[in-house]
Amino acid sequence: MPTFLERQTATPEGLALAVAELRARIEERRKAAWQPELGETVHERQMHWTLIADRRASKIAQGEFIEDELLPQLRDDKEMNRLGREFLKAAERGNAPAVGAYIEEGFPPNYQDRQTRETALHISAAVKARKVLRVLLDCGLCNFLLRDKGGRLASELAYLFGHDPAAARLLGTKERKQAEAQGITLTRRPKMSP
Amino acid sequence: MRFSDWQLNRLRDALRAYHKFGRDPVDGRHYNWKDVSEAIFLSAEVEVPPERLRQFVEGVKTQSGGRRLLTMQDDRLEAIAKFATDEDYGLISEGELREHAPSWHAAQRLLEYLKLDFDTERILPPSTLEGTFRNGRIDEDNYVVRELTLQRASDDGLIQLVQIEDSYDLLDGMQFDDFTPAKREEVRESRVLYGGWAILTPEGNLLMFLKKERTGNNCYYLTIAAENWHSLQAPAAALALLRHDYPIETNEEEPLEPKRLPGISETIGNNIALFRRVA
Repeated sequence: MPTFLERQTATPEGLALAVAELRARIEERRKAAWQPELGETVHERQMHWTLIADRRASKIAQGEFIEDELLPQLRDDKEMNRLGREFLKAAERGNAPAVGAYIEEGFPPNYQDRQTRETALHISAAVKARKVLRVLLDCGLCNFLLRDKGGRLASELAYLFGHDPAAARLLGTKERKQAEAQGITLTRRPKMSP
Repeated sequence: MRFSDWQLNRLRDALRAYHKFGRDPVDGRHYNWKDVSEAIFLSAEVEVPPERLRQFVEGVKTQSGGRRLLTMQDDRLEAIAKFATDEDYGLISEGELREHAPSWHAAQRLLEYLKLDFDTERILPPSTLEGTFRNGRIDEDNYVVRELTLQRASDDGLIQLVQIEDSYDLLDGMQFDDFTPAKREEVRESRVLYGGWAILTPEGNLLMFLKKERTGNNCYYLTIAAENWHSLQAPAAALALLRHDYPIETNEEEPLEPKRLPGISETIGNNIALFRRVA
């Protein structure tokens, strides 16, 4: 077990405990008869997600929540994979309250499917689940440059499978802005090293 | 070369990405449609007006508020395809532009293997199964409607499949039957498409093999009950099917034992669905 001075997620045991606690929090939310509304106006939703992001950052700092960088370590964790499958299924079903609840309880929104490498962003774009897409955009935690196993960005899936040019345009802009901020030259497919 | 809708969409997406992500190497500004048009001309020496390109990719607004994607003359499409598959631009590979036709050979071989030499006469004509069948059910927090279309049934029992899987929230799902098609589309939360093929075995079982369009993940259906199929000449009214994808995952760490079977049976029971004919 981690010592008092260590972050909980710094050790494998602490990380497993963080996953178990995440599962317990999500189960509690699932038992609730209803999920609170995330806010009706853009401003209300922004306020809501700002609070969530602050809380999340503080919990990550304390080692209670799982940050994206730790996901590779959890690749073979059965419990994490089960939670991940449920999260991605909620995205595929267009279940925005469930996706929102997972993120609020500390589930990493950039979790990638083991087989397809899809994120919730890819899936919601591909199935035209606009309410889920809005939650993912509003939460401000998504990495827009993650690619699925086919090297595809979310904007491509929105265009090809969601038949949603408007969502593809919006996601393309987000991808471009993030790439610029990180000094990355963005291409439709990842560039192969020579 | 004639392009199918599927291929046209691939070309459109390649142009969309080039337009969205590309930057002028000299001044760093983002590309506009004129830049895309010039790049196509440099690659294929065919002029495609910038506005036509934009309409090809983004579509034009319709009176009902939707968008209609336009197509182009063949020589321009050829030029776009040449540009998009140009290795210097790296937008799309030749392979991506090829149709993903399902492999009928596998289905034919399976039919040949299952064929009974002592009983070659089919009692149930495969064409009686052609049509669209629908099943709606609550799946955790959603109402999921699956529409399975069986088409182009051959006399030897090979059938083409399409499945549309739509999700609704529970409240809308309860009113699904009362909604008009337009209302259903308005309240729909998501849509997943599958394609594939089925064979009708000599015993009258339908074995269905579907692939999710987006990822290629497999899904299987198997007939588990039939309504007087041996005397059926009119179109089948319903299909009772067992749906399966991944093996049922048991939670406990213990090995599989007989005492675990009731739980597994219950889960399998939830995967049995009655699809009723709707068209």
